[in-house]
Amino acid sequence: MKLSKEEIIDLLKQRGLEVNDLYPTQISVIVNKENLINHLVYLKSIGFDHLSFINAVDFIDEGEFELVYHVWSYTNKVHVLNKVRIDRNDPKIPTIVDLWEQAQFYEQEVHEFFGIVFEGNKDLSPLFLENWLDIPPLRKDFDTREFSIRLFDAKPNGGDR
Amino acid sequence: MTSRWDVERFGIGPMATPRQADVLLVTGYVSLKTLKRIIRTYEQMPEPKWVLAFGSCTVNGGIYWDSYNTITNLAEYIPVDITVSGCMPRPEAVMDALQTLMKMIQSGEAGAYKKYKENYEYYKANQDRVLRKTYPILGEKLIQNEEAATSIE
Amino acid sequence: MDAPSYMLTKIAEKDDLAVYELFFGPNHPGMHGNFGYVLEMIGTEIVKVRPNAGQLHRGFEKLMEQKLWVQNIALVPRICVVDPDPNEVAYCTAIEKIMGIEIPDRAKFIRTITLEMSRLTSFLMGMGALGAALGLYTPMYIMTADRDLILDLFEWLTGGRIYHIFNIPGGVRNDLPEGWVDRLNKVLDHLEKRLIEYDKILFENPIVHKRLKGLGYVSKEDAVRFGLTGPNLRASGNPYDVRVDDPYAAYAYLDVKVIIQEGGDALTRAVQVRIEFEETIKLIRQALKLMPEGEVRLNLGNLAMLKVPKGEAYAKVESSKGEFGYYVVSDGGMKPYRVAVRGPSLPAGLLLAQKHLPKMKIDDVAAWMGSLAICPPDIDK
Repeated sequence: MKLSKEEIIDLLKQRGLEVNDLYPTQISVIVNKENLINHLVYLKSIGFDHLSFINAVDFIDEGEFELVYHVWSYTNKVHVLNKVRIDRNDPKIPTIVDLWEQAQFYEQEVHEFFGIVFEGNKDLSPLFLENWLDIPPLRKDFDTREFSIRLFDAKPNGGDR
Repeated sequence: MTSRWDVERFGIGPMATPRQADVLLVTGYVSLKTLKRIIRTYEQMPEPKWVLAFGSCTVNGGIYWDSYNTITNLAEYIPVDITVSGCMPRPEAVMDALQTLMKMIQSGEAGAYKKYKENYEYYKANQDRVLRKTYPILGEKLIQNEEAATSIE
Repeated sequence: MDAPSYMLTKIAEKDDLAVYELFFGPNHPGMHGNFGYVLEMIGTEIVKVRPNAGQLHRGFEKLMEQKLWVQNIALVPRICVVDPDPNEVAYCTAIEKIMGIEIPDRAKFIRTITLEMSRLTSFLMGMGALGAALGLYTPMYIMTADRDLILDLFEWLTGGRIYHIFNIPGGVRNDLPEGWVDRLNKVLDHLEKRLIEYDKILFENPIVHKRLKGLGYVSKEDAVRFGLTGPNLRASGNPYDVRVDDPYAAYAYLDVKVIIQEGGDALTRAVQVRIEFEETIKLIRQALKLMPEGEVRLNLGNLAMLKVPKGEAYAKVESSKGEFGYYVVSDGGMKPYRVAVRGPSLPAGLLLAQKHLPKMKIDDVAAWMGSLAICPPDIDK
């Protein structure tokens, strides 16, 4: 049964969530860390069966990480951005591997680049980097130019090699 | 390569294993994990051997010069005979480089592989500085972390 | 006595047979790109698999935060080597969504034509790689030679053979030159005639049928559950295509036919690529007929001083491998705050490997990878 975008926004607002209508086929929802899994189970029951992507954004000035879970529905043709905020100094959140199995690899990638711990994920070992001893590289306080100049002797603007 | 830019007529063809090869082509950027395998492949090739580096990324880092996972100068880690710049180099430039290499071999100028044995400590120091680091680069020096140093097999 | 160090590493024993560890790694003639699987095997049968990714990792998402909005268009096509145009279109579409602008109609049609031409080159390379994985080298050589004809057209239009840097926020850089459309029509006629030869040497070849039948079966529900997209999804019976579900560029004006097959194994996926190849040629001809006259770019001033207002957007396009997605966050400045890239090969390359590879023989791994169109650069980014 196909739901329109306006019907979906009404259903989610009735559950007490804050919803933004962004573009003709895209909406965003702000979710708390505690009801994340209940919310995703509800979305799965109304036709949102494709987990596209999981990524994180570092808001260093506000002291928080924001995790975005992208789900798409093939029957309703609407894309939902589920946004969750967690504390930057103690980043922990439960895993959603039991709902979608590919989340295991997306969470492994986010853990490696941001340092967020997903409780319940069996394997958070490094996937891309090897012998990495600095802070997680995609955080805003990691200066990649300085790193490259110190370790690889990079010269800005090509240098005079 | 196909019939439009044919190199087999010059006597050049791909080989299945480094033990049977004479020339190593490094095409493009080199990340840290790939560098480990390139060094192992280079040391497996029997002498005389030559190295051709393609692309601007092997000269000064190219478009990825400020990345935390790519090297900026291949000549610090293995000796290089000819570099072809471009992003990506055109097929005609590649063929010109191969023919120049053949002329250099005949005249005796291409001898970079001898430099590897003579200056082995210099190359090994550069390789270890990048592949086997034991303290964080942007941070206070940690007390020797033995697990981290031996975590690469 | 200790085994010499060049012999295989024995890691366990299981009912009287030894389990060895082998790298199906980057240095292997059957591997597509710089990627590896660490396999644990008994004889030639695989028991467990672990991916060894990260050899192509360049840190794009960090590099894009240091450069201006229009400088990133030079970085973005390098994420996928075989099919670079969807990246540029997705990045520019996300910026246009945040800014709330709409590009002129002629620019939409030119974007569509370049996207479909890029899809043709990617299919040619994919079919050739699948043939080479089975030991058939003639298809690979003639398909690479045919791909050169399309790359010559791109060089005439944009200046570069593989990385074009042709799309900008607001449209495309320049209009089609004089005589380009005639040459494109000639190339399409040539490719349609060549399809008969491809059928004879690759798709009706009994070797291909015997080796690919029943390999890597994915059922209809599993394809959606595991997050597969693109031709892999449609070869298992699901009628979903981003060009029809969520149209971008000029696809809302065109009649796109969605090809569905029931089958779900590697042979069905190979035939799916062949049928979609023919449909793509028809789609380019349709777009050439309906293309209107007009401007090709909006006037947004000096693009190097472009400021995108605060906001976020997720844009996706249908590439030849699946759904490519770009999530862009802007804080109102001259550089992006965050760009996150969703590559289409991750569910197939990392998750399906854990499900399909155990109990498979090592001879079939290269053909399995070729049939699912697993391309390592967009796993690593």
